[in-house]
Amino acid sequence: MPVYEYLDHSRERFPEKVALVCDTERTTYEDLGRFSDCLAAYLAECGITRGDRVLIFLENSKETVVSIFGALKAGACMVLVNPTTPPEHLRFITIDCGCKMLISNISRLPTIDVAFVNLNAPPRLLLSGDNSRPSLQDALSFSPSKRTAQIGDSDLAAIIYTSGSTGNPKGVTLTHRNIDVVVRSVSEYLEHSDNDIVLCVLQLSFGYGLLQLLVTFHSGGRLVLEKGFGFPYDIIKRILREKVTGLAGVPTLFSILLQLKELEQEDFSSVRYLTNAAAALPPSYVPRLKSVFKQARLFLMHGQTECLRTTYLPPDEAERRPTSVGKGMPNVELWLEDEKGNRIAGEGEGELIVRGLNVMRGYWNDAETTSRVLRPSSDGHMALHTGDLFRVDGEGYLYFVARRDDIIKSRGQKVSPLEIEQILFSLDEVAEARVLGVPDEILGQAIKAEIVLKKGRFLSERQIKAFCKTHLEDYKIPHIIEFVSSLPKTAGGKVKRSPA
Amino acid sequence: MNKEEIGEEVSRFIDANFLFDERHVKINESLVGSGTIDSTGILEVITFLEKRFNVTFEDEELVGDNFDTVDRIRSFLFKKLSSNETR
Repeated sequence: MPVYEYLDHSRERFPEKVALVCDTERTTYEDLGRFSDCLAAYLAECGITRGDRVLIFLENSKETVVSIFGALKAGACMVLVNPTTPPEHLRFITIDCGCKMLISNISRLPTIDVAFVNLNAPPRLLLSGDNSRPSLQDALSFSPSKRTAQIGDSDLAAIIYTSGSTGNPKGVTLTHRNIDVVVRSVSEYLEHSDNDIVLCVLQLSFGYGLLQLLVTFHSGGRLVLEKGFGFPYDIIKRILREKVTGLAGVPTLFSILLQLKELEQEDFSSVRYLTNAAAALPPSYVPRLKSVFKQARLFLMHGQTECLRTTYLPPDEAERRPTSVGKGMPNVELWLEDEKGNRIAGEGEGELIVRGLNVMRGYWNDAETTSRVLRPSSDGHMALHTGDLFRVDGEGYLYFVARRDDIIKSRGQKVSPLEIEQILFSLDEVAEARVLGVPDEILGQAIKAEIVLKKGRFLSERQIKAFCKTHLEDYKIPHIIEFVSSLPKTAGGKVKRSPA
Repeated sequence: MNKEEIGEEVSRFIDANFLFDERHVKINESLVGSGTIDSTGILEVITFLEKRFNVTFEDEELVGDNFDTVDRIRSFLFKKLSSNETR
């Protein structure tokens, strides 16, 4: 099923129901359906057609939701970009995906202007709040016409850029079928229904965040969409006021909530499930979450952008195996392989291999990297080699061990050390730099940069962070800067990756 | 300590820990909305305030209405410190 039909079907079933709550604004399925039809017609009028890439560069808002469905209804492939993306990356992504239209907010124009300097054939801009050209608001009052672009399940629905171990972001291409299979599997094990009210504080540009929107609209529920985690008690008030039934979190969010002292006294009886993905939940959180959210079932899960979701731990097992992410979700085949590519039978440790309709088509414009992860497995058939190392116990439950590459997982997001090192090396004062992930209770891993300065040169921690802030997304800025006199080297003279 | 002095101290902490360039935080700038501080940074600000001003915040006080700008922080803190003194 094409993904935009989730909205159309729920609009038919519940036209007057509030589908989306953003801040104080409440929007019905009927209005969201109409706005997305108007936008689709406008995009078609602008020449956007089947397979064209439409880049969405917005923070979580009603406009983002309308843009997602409007672009898909126009037959386009949406490219969701983190709203804190700095100009260099925005430029890279724009060129890499060859997008024809960029939807954003007028407040992002300074970033966009820098990104597009001297760009051959920059995309058309459609900005919310723009007075100098047709704005997103104008597009939403465009006369909706019947859709012309006919698309199938195997058409691309989304490109989501994720950090690659080589430094540049990689565009994960997902078809409507990829997404639909995952949405249905997740809906099945979460037992999602139109009674569900889901609180999403995760960015929609992040696969886990996008799934909150799609799973909710697929079942005709209501999404309470926040711009971010915000202030701890504001989240609590939101849960209570909106009678939220489902809360999607990452360890950082749960850590922030659990800092509150008197949570046990609040009435969270509306919350029937909590999910955790993107990074392992510290085991000590499990009993506290259970004592706070007394009626809620806790789902510990694993996924990566390349296949969106892979496993979940049945909630009844969470207290017995708080460090496990369970077993494969419905419609996904997965197993572990050792370093020689042999399938592990029984207990053991190895790389997670995934096969199923959830697996991406490949990385956009990057056949070489694609062939490294999408390749025949031990049985000779194609499968996704996730790069995630797991341990499997005697009963088949999986436990995350580490990344096979050097990727850091901070706040649930993948961060490439190489990408940060490249930024640090562009500082003239820096002689050597090494970026590592170090364990952190709140962040999962904190980003630590070890820096050797050139002789006679000086830089402060603050100057380095300021430089990183202008060249990196906010979640990639090193938390710890340590000046060292030298870095450990391999026999070949390369800086060693491991912290020792 | 008066309200202005509290504000200056809070601004200094934010400048030193979250603004890495030459810019200074504006008194009415939304700390989260402007991207100056993320939610984990907010916890750092709260921890700093609790230690520096020897106060404890109640759960329900940890909302944007009290902490999202330097102006709100100084007003809220001043009120809280004054009411602690009169107890």
